[in-house]
Amino acid sequence: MKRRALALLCAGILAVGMLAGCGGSSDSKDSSAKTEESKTETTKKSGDSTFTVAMGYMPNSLQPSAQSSDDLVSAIRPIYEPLFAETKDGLEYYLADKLDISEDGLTYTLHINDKATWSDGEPVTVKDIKFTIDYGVLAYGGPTSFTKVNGGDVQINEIDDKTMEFVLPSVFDNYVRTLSQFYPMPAHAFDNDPSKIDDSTYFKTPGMATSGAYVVSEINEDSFVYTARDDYYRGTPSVKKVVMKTIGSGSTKQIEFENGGIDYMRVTSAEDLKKYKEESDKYNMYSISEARLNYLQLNPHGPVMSTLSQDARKAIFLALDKDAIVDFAWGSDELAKPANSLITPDQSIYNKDCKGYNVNLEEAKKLAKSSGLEGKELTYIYNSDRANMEAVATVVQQQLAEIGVKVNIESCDTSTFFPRFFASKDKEQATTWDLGTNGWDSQRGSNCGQAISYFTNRLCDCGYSDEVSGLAQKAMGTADAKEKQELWNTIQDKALEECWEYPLTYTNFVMVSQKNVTGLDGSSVVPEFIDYLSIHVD
Amino acid sequence: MWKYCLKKTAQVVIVMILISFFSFAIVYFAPGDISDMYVNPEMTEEQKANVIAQLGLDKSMTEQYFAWAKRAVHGDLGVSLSNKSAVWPQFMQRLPATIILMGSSMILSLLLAIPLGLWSGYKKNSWLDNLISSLAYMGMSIPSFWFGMLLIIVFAAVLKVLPSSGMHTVGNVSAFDTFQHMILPCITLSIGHVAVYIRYIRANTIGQLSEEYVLTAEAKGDSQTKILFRHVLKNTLLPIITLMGMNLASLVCGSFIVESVFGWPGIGTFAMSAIGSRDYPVIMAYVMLSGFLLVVGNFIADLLYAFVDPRIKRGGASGGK
Repeated sequence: MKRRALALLCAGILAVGMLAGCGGSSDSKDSSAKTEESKTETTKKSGDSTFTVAMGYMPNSLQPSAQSSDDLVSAIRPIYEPLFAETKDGLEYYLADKLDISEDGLTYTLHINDKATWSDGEPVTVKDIKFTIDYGVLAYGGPTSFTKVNGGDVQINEIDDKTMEFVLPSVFDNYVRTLSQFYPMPAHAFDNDPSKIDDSTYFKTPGMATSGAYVVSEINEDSFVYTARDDYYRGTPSVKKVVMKTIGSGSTKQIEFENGGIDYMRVTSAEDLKKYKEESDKYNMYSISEARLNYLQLNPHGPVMSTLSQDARKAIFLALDKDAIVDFAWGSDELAKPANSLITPDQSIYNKDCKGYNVNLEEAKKLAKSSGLEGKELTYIYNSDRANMEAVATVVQQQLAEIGVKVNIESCDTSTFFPRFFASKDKEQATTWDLGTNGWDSQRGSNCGQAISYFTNRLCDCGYSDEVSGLAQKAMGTADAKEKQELWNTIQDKALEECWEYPLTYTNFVMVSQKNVTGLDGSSVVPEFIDYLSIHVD
Repeated sequence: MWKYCLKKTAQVVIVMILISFFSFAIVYFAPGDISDMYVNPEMTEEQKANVIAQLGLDKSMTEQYFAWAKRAVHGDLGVSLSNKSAVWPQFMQRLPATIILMGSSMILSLLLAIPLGLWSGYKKNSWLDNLISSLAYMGMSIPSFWFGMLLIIVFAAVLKVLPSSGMHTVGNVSAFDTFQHMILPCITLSIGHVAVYIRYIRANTIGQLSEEYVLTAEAKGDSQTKILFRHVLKNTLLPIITLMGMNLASLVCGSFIVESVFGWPGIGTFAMSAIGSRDYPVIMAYVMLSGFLLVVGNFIADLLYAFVDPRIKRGGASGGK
């Protein structure tokens, strides 16, 4: 009996151990980067304007160059600025106030805004840009897209504290895009030594020097709290606090929004769109072009597709009805519109007259029969973490059944989708699927954006001929605007003729906000470039 | 006893080696190439090869495994691929949130399961027993993510009485606020545990009630309540030692699903995002930690059992003869 009592005691000790763990949490909390003082600061007072944004998970660090997910991008945007952003109507300047490109297209001169300062009062200078570029090289263990173009080194010259020059080895249109994705880090915080960044807790601690409209005042277990800067070079934000808080998965975000726990969320279904529109007394709606193309890729190395001819690919393209796909998967043309080209309307090189493909079932059936496609089974993969992609897969499956093609759909999460979708041809993964849907976003401005990686088969082998690849390379290296546009018109037509990528939809980023929140459409770039100066919370 | 402990310790070591090897193999053979995360299209082939060699990714799986194991034995679990920070401090940062949630859930489970299980066993085959058993089966059958969503809809969306997500209201660090945030995930986690515990306790109670010492107590004129709570309870709870030992791992490692559904900032959500980004140092650390705690929890339970019931110890010893 004594033994049993002792065993119960031991079990009790086990339970106490568990409780001790709970007790230990308070110690850890103390060590977490927050203070009672800062906690008190965030207590909502009347008249405080706070804008609350949802995150799917809590990033470990706010280091601006480590933007590995949409959540991290959203968390960083209020505190770290890009040099500029590409929009449909040109460049929207942030830390830089001018970008000059020489007539020969080789020299990019970047002027940093004279008034731009870090939140600790230090000016933003070219040293910060050089420091961040050096960190990239160090982190990657080799050249990055900032330092190497078309196989040649980019010469980077510091003209003065606020002017920097990038001399390209050859014309490369997309360098504007490269620079637009650049978020400088404060060199002075690391004694100008980029090797100190990775081992540092600097970007995990409140008070880090920021270049954006806010400073980090709290880092909690499940949220970040940012406070407006009075010395922000573009003006004083009207929203005094921005809270980034983690919200659970599934429909929790929507519930949290409807309970007023977060101030805005994205709407991706026609049902929700209708619902929130009907409640216009409670909510505001915004719709901004996402500059995104969703496309269907035919895999040249697919188990069946690799054995079929161009006619078979054409049969697939002719069997697809884009309007039906939009109708079923998105349910509203406010959320997505059928695409006619592999370039988006937000890119100046977009050709609105590009014919694309229109459904022609009879022709598709004939081609399917003559090319041997009829009766085949194709493997279709899609990213289940992307909104509406499952519905697209279902419609494509039904439409291809009309021409006698059986489509086996495989759902993949992000971590398994991309290694398969972008597997290089020498890897086994490349041969495991025939069809796949994906999209590329933020396709804005005067260059072709991500499309170049596809037309030149650089990211993966997309199947394009040497002719299309050559034309794309030539267009990228052409400084003359007229000649460039003609080349891109040709490429858009030829790319579709080769029948490897089928343009599905151009999507809109539709948001719903609480009624007291306005100005979310103040920026033409979403979701990562919301201009926080334009946001107001009454 | 020492011989028994040594034998069990050797088993723990072997199991840990097997867990580490197989989990490493799973990550190694997962779709896609890990080296793709480290190289970029601007690198020359030589530079790519250098980076891959520096990371040791050019070596065979066994070579990579032994290099990882050597570092792990020295307490170095590596650096996260996605955020370039050491893995262990990140675990430590999230551990308190997980322990608070899982510990509370475990305590709640025991507080509910003990009286219900005892009562169910005591009133065997009565309508009360049938009701409790039915509820227990339901509890075991309900998927936790579904039950979690149901609770969120009822208590957060419809009644609006409890928060649906997170651990704190921003700006409010009171224990009561954390308690409010913890209610729904805690209930979600407990529902499955309670159901299992009830079944164990019920079965043990029925067994114990037929023991002679119960008859003796009855003959001595002890009341049913006294017999049940003073004598039967102590013996009935012994198997719970095993269950608690097994739950030691989940106490520290959290729950992927429940933490994700409720946006709880614990180790479960951290591991979930690591799996999403194929952050293998974090995945390995998570698997090793949970495996280690599971094995150690069972080890402690075995020791306690051996201590309590000498037949187990003797059986172990005679088995070697």
